[in-house]
Amino acid sequence: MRDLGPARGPLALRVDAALWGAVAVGAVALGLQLVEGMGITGLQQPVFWGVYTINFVYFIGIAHAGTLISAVLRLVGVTWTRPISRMAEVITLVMLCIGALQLLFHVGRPDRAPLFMILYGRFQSPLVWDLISITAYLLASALYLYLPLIPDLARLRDRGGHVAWVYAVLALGWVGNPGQTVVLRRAVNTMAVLVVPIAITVHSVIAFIFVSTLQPLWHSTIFPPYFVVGAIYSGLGAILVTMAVVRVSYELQDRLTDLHFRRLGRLFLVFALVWLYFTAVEHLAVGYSGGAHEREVLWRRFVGAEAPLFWTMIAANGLVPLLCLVSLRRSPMPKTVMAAGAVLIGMWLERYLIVVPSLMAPRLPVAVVSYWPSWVEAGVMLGSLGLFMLGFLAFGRLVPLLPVVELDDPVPANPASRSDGAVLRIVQQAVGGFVVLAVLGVCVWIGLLVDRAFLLDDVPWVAVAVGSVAVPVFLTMAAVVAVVTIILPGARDSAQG
Amino acid sequence: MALWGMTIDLDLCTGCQACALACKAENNIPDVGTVDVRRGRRIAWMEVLVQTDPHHPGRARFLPRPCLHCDDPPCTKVCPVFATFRDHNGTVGQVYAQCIGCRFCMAACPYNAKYFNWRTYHDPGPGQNPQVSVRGKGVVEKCTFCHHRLLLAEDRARGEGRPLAPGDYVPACVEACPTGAITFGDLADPDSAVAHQARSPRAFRLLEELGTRPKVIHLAARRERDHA
Repeated sequence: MRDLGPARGPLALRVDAALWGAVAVGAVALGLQLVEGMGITGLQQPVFWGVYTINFVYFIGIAHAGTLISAVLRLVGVTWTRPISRMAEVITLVMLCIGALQLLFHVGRPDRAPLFMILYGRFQSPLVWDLISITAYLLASALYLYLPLIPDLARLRDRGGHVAWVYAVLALGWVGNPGQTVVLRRAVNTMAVLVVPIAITVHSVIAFIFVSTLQPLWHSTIFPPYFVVGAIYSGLGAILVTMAVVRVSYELQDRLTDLHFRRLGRLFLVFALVWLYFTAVEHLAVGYSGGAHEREVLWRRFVGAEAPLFWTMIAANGLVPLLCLVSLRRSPMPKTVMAAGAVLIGMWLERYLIVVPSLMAPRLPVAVVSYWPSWVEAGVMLGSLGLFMLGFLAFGRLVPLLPVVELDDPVPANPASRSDGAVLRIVQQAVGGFVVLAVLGVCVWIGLLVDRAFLLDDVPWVAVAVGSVAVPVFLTMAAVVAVVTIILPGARDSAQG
Repeated sequence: MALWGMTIDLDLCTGCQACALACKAENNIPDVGTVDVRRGRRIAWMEVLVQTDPHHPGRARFLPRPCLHCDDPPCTKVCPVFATFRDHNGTVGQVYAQCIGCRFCMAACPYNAKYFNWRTYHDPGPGQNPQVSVRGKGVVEKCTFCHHRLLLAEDRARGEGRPLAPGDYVPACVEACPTGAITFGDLADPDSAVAHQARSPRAFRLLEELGTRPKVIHLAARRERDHA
C-alpha cells in the first residue's frame, strides 16, 4: 500500500502560508463588515443581493458533485469511480460547510439569523426549507463520507502513532470480519439511496428562493432542474481539477489514470450539453412569450450592460468544454482540466447573471445604481476559497484521499484491536448517541414548525408535505447512525455475507 | 374589522414631497449621508417616484409610493422568521427586533418599498419621535401606515368610551399633503371617503396584474386620460 501521507516540503509550506493568508484577508474583511454593517460591501438598492448570494448558490452547487460521482454511480454498479469517490465526498462536505457559511455573511444580523430561524422558523419561507435540506445534506454527506472510511480508519489505528486513539474511536472496532462487512455495506447502500434525493432537493430549494419571488426571469418553473444540472456541472468541474492536482502532487498516475479523466470527461460533456439545452430553453421561452419586463432583462443579457459577462459565460460553459471534450483520445487530463477550469468560472458567471440583472430591472421607476462588489466581498470570497482548500488539505492529511482498503486487497485489520477498551466503547456510544439525539431533535423541530403553520394558518399543507418528506429522511439517518455505532463493533465473524 | 387603506389622487399631486418629509420626521427615518445616497441606499418610506413616458417625451407624472400594504403581500410569504406579516386590520407589519436582515422580503416586493439599514444610520441625539422605534444596522424597514398613531387613536377612543371615528387615525403623509391628494380610511366601510374614492372609475392599483391586491389605490390623472 502506498503511503498517502501528507506531501511535505517547501512547496507545501508555501501553499499553506498562501491559504492562511487568504483566510486572514477574509477574516479582516468579515470583521470590518460586522463592525461597520453591510454598507461596507458594494450592495445597495435595488441590487441588495450580490456576491454572497452568488457564492451561496455556487458553492453549494459544487457540493453536489460528490453525490453524483459516488452515490449514483455506486448505485448503478460502476466500479471505475472508486478512486475518485473519496475526493468527491470530501469536496462535497467541505464545500457544503463553506456554502452554508455564505448565508451568515449575507444576512444583516448574523447574530440573530441561525437562532431566530430555529426559534421562530416559518414554514412558508423557502429559506427555512433551505435550512432543513442543507442540514439533511450536511448530515447525509458526512455519514456517506464517514461510513466507507471506517476500514481505512481501522488501518490508521493499527499503524499506531500518538493520535491512534482518535482513529480507534472512529474505527468502531473494525476488523473486517464478514459480519461487519455486511452491516457496513448495508449502511453505505442505505445512505447512497438516501443521499441522491436529498442532494436534488437541496439545489431545487435554493432555486425556490428565486422562484418564489416576482422578479423578472426568477419566477420560472425551469429553475429548480436548471439549478440542479448547473450544480452537478460545476461540481464535476471541481472534481476534475482536484483530481488533476492530487494526481500531480502525490504522483498517483497509476491510480488516477487517463481512463478516469477520459470517462469523467465524457460525463462532463453530457452535462455540458444538458446545461446548454436548459439555457437555450430558458432564454427561448422568455424571448418568445415573456412579458415586456422580462424581455427587457433578457436584452440586458444579450446586448445590454451584462452582455460581455453573458457571452463569456456561453463561451466558458458551452464552447470551451465542447471543443475540449469532443475528442479525449490523446492527453485527456489537460483537456478535461481546461474544460473544468472554464466551467468553474462560467458557472460563477451564470449565478451572477441570475442574481444581478433581474434586480437591476425594478418594475417601478426607482433610482437604479449599478452594482460593483467592494473589496470586502472579494476578500470574503477569497477567504472562503482558502478555507475550502485548507479544509480539503486537512482531510488529506488526516485520512487517505483514496479509499485505500477498498482499492487494495483488504488486509485483515489487527484482531487484537477488536478488544477495544470499555472506555473506548463508551466514547463511541456517547458520540453516536449524541448524533442520534441531535437528529431526533431536528425531527421534533420540524414537527413544531408544522404545528405552528397550522396554528397560524400559514400554508399548513405545504408544511405537512415538506415535513412528511424531511422527517423520515432524518429518522433513517438516525437509524443508520444507531445501527453503525451499536451493531457494527459487535458483529460476528459467522454472519453470512 | 377595519381594513385600512389609502387613495392617492394623481390629479392633485404636485410632487411637492411634503408627504415624504412628514413621513421622515414622523418615523425617525435617518439621513443616510451623501455617499450612501449616491450609492442608492436612500431610505424613503414614502417615495415620490417620477414616471416618464417614452411616447410623450418631456412629460412626467408623479407617483407617490408608500408601502402598498397588499392584501396578498408577496413579502410576508418569504420571511423565514415572522418579522413581516399581514396584520388582522390589513396593514403589513415589520418587526425590527425579529428581522435577521436576509433581504428576502426586499427581493419579493415588486414595488421596491422595503429599505435596508446598510449601516448604523439612526441619529442617537434628541429630536426623535419617541413613539417610533429607531432601527439599528442590518434590518429591513418600511412604511407602517403610521401604526403607532392607530394604537394611540384606539387607546383614546377606548378611554372616551366610543368606537373609533373616521379621522381619529390618519398617517403623517395624509396630514401633510397640501392639496389633499391622499385620502385615508377604512376600506371595509362602504360609506367611508376612501371607499368612495376607491370605487372611482379613475382608481387603479399599481401593478394590479401581479395579484398582490394593494390597499393603496391610485386615481389616474384626468389629463392623462384625455390624452390617451
